[in-house]
Amino acid sequence: MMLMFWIFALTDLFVAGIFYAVYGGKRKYAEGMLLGVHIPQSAADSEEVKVFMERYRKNTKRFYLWNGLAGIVVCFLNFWYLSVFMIVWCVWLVEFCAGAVYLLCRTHRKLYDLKVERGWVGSAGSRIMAVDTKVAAQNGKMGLSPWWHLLFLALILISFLDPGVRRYLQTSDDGWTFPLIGILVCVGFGILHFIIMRTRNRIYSEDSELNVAVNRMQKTLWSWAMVVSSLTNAAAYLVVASYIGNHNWLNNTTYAIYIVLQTLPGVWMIGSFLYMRYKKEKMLEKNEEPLYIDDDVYWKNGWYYNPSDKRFFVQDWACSWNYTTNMAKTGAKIFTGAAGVLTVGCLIWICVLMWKIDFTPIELTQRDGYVQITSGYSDLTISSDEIESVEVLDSVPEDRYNRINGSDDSRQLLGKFKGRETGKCRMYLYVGYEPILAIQTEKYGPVYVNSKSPGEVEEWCEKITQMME
Amino acid sequence: MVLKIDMSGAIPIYVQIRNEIVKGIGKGDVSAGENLPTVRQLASELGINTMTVSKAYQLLKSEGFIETDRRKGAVVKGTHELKGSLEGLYREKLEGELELLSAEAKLRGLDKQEFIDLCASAFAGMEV
Repeated sequence: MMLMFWIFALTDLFVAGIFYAVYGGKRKYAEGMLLGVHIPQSAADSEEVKVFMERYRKNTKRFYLWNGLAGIVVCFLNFWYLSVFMIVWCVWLVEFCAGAVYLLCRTHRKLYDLKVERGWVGSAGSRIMAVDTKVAAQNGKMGLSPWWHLLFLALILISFLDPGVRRYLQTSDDGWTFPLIGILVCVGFGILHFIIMRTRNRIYSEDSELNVAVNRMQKTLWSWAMVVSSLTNAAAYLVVASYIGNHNWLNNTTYAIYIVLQTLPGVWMIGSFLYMRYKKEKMLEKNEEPLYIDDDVYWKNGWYYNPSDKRFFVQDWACSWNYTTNMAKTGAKIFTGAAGVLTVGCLIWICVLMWKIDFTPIELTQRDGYVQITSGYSDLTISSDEIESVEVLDSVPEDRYNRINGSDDSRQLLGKFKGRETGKCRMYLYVGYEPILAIQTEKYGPVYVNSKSPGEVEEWCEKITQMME
Repeated sequence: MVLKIDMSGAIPIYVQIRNEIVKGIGKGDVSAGENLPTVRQLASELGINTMTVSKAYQLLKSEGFIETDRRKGAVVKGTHELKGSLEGLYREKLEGELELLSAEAKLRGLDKQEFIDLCASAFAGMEV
């Protein structure tokens, strides 16, 4: 529980920090824009805009401070019921994400309205698109090729040639998780790499050489970030595959190496992004003929709406390494709506699942030649033919158990488990309660069940024994 | 060379692309032998249909400003190849456009010297 508390508390602070860096800290006039609105430097320096931005700074500070604190406070619920904590945490997360985006978009719109009202440059609604022919002509020659990901995919697939790996995949319930994650992440990075390489280049200057240099630097760094991330993902899987190939088991050290290697892409990506930003600023300091294309009319509500642009994904104004959809397209509306519904649906589904795990009691009933075990995670029905033996134990056999699915907290052990020596089993157990009923089956392995009511386990054992006779 | 296209303007986009490229060649922003983006690349950058860019490139090719090569894509032609083509149809076209511009300038109150100065300034900007 303490570990869980720290994981979530640090995650919340990390999320709040990233949101602040991406959405909360856009208060400086750069590249001819303030808060994503193109205005002249003189307007940005005016008293009116300074007061406006000061008010925004205070609101932002207040929002992030209170939400950061709330993010830590909700983590204390973890010491009570996990399901209650998850529900409150999900509500906090949705409120925080929606609030941060709303705060930014509302302020952006207000500044855009002010620009139109004051008649600052571009306020008539410029619909100019610009392209540097030199940059566009070299687009295909920038950065590493996305085909590199095929090599890493092949490395993952080649591990299936090892008989040890194949045996583990066939016999273990969770065996496919690692290669599946490896393949999906590799394909994901490949697709993202391909999209980034095809993304429209940005024009910063009338000087084509500078435009080429900045776009080349960005695409080269992005492509390296994608390729190295894909490489560490493949390496993480190969470490696991090599161990399970030799031992038909996964130890904690291999798990730890896997987690570290899978975390590296995140660190690498953030590092690349920060370096890219620094490098871009340095390069643009030499920009003697800046060129600002005012496309604010398409972004006035905070999202992109341009019916004459046939692109589906466009670079986001608030975060240059993020992509958003062109809401003028029906497909984009469906995609965004579906993504929102899917996200909220997943959160609700997780909350319901956890609520059931916490508040559904473990019960065993026996009728018509069947034993049925119900719990908050899953139910299990065993026919009397499948039962080999039944006995009452003081505790589960000594072994190192890994949870394959279900739940494993300080109150209950529910679902499929795998013991290093004893192999697969099912557990429907309240932690700290004895005795334990062990139903031996060939299909499921041993099934362990217990009860909070004294004498109930012995009663179950007696009834099942009678049923078997 | 930076092409600026007004997506909501009255002039068709392919004509704007053609005009911007001709201006770029005239100003020396793109030199003879330099590659232009492929039809697909330019369409992707502008977020427009490939047919629109293709139409602009065909127009430029027919007017002798660019040549297309299967391997190199669109390449800007040398200006010396264009210089002999002043006579005939082009002269007629130039006279017609100048007549229209002069009429509009006069109607809007520009005097002859101002008009000539503007023409001279625009012409001086052409570095080829």
